[in-house]
Amino acid sequence: MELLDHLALGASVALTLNGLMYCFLGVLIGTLIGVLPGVGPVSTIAMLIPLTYQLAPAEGLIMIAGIYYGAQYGGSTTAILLNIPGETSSIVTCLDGHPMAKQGRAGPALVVSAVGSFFAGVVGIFLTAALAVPLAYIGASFGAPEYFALMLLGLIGAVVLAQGSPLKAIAMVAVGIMIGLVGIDIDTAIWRFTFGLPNLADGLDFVPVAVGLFGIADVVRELCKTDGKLGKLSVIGRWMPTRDDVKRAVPASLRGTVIGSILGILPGGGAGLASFASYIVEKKIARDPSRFGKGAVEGVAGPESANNAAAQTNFIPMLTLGIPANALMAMMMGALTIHGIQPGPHLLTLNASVFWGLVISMLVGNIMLLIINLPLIRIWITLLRIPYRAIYVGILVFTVIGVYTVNNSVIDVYLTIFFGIVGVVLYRFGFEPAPLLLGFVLGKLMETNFRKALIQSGGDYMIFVERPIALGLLIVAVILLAMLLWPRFIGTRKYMSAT
Amino acid sequence: MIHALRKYHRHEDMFCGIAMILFSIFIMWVARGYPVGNASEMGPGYFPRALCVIVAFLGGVLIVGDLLKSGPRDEPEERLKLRPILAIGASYIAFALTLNFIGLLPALVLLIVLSALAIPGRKFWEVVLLVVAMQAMALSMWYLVQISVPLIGKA
Repeated sequence: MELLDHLALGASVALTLNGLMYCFLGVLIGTLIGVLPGVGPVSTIAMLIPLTYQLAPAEGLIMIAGIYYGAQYGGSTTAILLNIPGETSSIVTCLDGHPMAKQGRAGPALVVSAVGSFFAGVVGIFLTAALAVPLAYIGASFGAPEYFALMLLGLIGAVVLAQGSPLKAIAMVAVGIMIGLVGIDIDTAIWRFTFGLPNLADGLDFVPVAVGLFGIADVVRELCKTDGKLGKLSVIGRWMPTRDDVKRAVPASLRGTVIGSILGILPGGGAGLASFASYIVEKKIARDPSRFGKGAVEGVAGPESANNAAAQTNFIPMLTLGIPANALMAMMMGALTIHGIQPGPHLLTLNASVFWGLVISMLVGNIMLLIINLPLIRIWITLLRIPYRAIYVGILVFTVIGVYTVNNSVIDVYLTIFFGIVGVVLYRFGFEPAPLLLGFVLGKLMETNFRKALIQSGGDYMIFVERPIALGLLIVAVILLAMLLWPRFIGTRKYMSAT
Repeated sequence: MIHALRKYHRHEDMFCGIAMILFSIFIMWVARGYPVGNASEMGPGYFPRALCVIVAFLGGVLIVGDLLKSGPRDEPEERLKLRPILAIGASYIAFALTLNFIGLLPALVLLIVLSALAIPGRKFWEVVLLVVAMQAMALSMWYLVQISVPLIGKA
């Protein structure tokens, strides 16, 4: 049983005192910040990556992963109680979660969402453990053309399945790749796009770009929208779900887990897509679809399970192939690279203890979250009472210190605010920064593999279609692009963005 | 003026497309000195130029799409307000400019006060309270993360 050996190796990393402590710290901070209204997981991770610098790679990653799924749990709480989605995947939770809260059923909604998330998370972790080795094995056989095709597929998948204009999203990917190319070209030692600044010679750092585009831009956008005023908090009331609630929630949760696990692995798939898909399925198969939107418990249980399953299985392509499916995974990938770990097929052989330690820690972290969330929910609710007009100043202070400590340089502070303002303007004109971040993370790798492939073939572009795996991946990418021309698909996409 | 703005709202995609094309031209210009090479021996200018062509092409498609579209257009979801952008931009720049001369806590006072002005109608005591609370948070972070800047004074 090779898998058991791996899990034992992971346990020896994650179940140490340090491992447990950083895992707990991660999920605690993640929940704490995720619960704060107006702060979603992407900006939470962006803000907190600098805090993990001093840690050893395994510990740092355990903590960042903890922050990641902790923030996702926290986001559901704000969605249900305040009707504020912290991120795309909790938009769906708002649809029925908040009506439940308004009817005095916030308690059951929170319980159903936490237990469903926990179950789905655990299933997702086991899938990660089971699929990692075979996928990494396949990945290790890939040459430059296959890698380029795979990255292209990942980027196109992310564009097609995201919201907003696909044209603009592709443009953002291209711009992201350009930003990724900043710095000294390895082959020729020519300085590209550095504008003569020595600080940019090694390329743009991940933290100022990510923190600016997500952390700072989110704050400014929120202030543009609301002047810092947020909605009214619902009262929790009774806790336990009724027998009827349970009877409806359990099958919905199971279906959500399956949907989420599958969509999480696909290129471009992720928690947001998974929760939408699950909601649509639940509404379709319900005997009385009109209950949805008015507090149907299935509408909370299904999507919440789906998004957590996807949040876990998202790690599979990112860790084993080095392909992030969405902005969150790009963020995680950036965090890994900062700790000197390159995600990809070699991660499992070179950093086996880190990988399996992460897997076990996620299991432990999910158990911790269940405990942190349910009995202690009252503490988190007091946090919801802090007005955004105070929170955002805290975020700015916290972020500026974090960004500065990365290199102890004020240049990073300037870069952060630059990308922050750029992000706000881009959002305003319908350019989403998520594809930009994906392009940025993959940029250099894409160019390198593209160059390598063409050196291999002596400049013949046919190499991308002559190799069967590369061809297969490119065909899937073309099919995904073609889906954009299919009216029904566009309709669903519009519906998703509208809700 | 207001009238002109409204008109331009309606042709937002055209504006975006033009901006994309201008951006590509700018990047092409920056990259003008990077050798392109050929497909078998790609220079550092090859990939960036290819990307510029893609962005410019997409910009062109947006413009054409905008010209072909008739009837009323969607209102943009996001709205820009000058106040938060200026206040938060200024707060970060002020922090970065002064940090090495006056130390972490005073530079943060600037950041906190300026960013507090991002929303209208702040009361004086509210800002004072914010400054005190945030200084306490910064102080604890200073101990935790070991920031290499003095709390007060020149670096």
